[in-house]
Amino acid sequence: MKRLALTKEGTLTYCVAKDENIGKGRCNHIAHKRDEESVEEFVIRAEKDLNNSIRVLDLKNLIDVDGLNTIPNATLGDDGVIRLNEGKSFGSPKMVGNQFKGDLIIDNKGFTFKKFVKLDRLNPLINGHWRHGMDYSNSSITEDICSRFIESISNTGIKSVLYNFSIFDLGNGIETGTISDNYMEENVSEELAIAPNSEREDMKNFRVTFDEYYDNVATENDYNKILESMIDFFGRYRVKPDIAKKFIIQQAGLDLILGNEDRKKNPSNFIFLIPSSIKEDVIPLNMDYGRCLQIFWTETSESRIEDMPDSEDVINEIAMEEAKNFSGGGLFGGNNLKESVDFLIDNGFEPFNLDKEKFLASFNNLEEKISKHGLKFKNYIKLKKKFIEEILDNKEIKRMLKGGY
Amino acid sequence: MKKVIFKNSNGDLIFTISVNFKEKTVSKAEVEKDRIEISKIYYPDIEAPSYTSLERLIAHYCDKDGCDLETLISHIEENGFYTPYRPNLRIYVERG
Repeated sequence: MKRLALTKEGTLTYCVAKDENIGKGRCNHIAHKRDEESVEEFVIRAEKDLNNSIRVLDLKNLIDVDGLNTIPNATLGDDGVIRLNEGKSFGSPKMVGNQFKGDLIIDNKGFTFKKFVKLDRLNPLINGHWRHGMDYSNSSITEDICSRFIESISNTGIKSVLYNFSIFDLGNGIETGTISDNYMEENVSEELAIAPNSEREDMKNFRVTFDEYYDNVATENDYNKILESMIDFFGRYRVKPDIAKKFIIQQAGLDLILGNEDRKKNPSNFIFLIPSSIKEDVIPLNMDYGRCLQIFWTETSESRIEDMPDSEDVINEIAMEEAKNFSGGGLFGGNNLKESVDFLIDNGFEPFNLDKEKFLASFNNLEEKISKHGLKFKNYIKLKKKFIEEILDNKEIKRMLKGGY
Repeated sequence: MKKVIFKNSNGDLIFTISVNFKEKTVSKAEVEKDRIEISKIYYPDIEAPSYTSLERLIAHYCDKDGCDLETLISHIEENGFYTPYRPNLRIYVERG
């Protein structure tokens, strides 16, 4: 089979490589036309890929005042581990949040990508430890699962960041985390919506204070009042009321199903993409799913269950028990699931068109990465899988899915 | 005297500010039409700029708190600029 493809030099040629050989051997293409794409759509995407690739190469050799690379380089090995190249240093401690984050330019067999990396390691500026349990110390797994869930919905109606679980060696031994694409498009700046109680130089410009959010959303129980306040907050950043409402309700739908515990109480989890021109719309962005699908599970639980002959049954039982008490998460969750779903539907929630088979199949990829490196999360992943299967089987949640499953 | 030019990664001009290192002063910022909003994001003190606030801002972007503005600007002039805190921002330096 031949398909249109883009070479590193920027020319369009036909590629005859089989699917499994793309990017290997004699295939020197950096982008291939997808079956569902028209030639025109592919050419537009290919041009964008080529421009991004050139920009990444431009950034590759930038150094800072200390002579270190501004964006460190790493290489994706045949074993699937992303390794920091010698003499480089990773991470930007001032990035908001508990996890240690930073940009990385990753070489993969001659192809170069710039990715945003979020490690499961604590930011070195934070003195302390993660709270006990894998939901805290290994949130990359949850972020991957939730990203695959979002990816399996064809009509979320909102723009979302997608994270991929990855294994790294960034000078601290083998560790886990996620990579994601830079979600800012050209000409756009990303801005936290609500002040995270910070005095930082570049954070002086908040139009919603931490106290306002705390009083009107974080501690408010009346869903109508929360929605009204959020639309007002979004409006202060030029997000039109109809766009704001649609985003808040659709995001709340995802958060409800995924049991997100880090939205209502965390003002730094609302982000806007602000275009440089005032004439273009400000776009809210859905991100950060590390505190979804929470089930208490530790390394001890993981090793104990390994020794049980009926481990599968025990895992299923725990997941089913947790799902029975599930009341959802996000801005309008955590109490009565029926009331939450009613509220969302009354406010124009568009049910999700979920490809459940595709979503459940994505767990195989995650399990494969884990087992290849002997990481001890196998049962934790099984538990999460069963948990979300049970949630999707809940009669109230089914009202939020097209076809109802 | 050097001109510090803030652009986006497409090369579109956002604003320019002149810096006098000897006198430790900065000029009023020249903001491009329709770019005041994005300018405020990149430099919150854009409407009342000062040498000190510009120094603090660029040091913050470069993860070099406490570093003097002249060193930072000279480095940017020779090596270019990128910050993970504002990935679409580019800073260029011109003499004059």
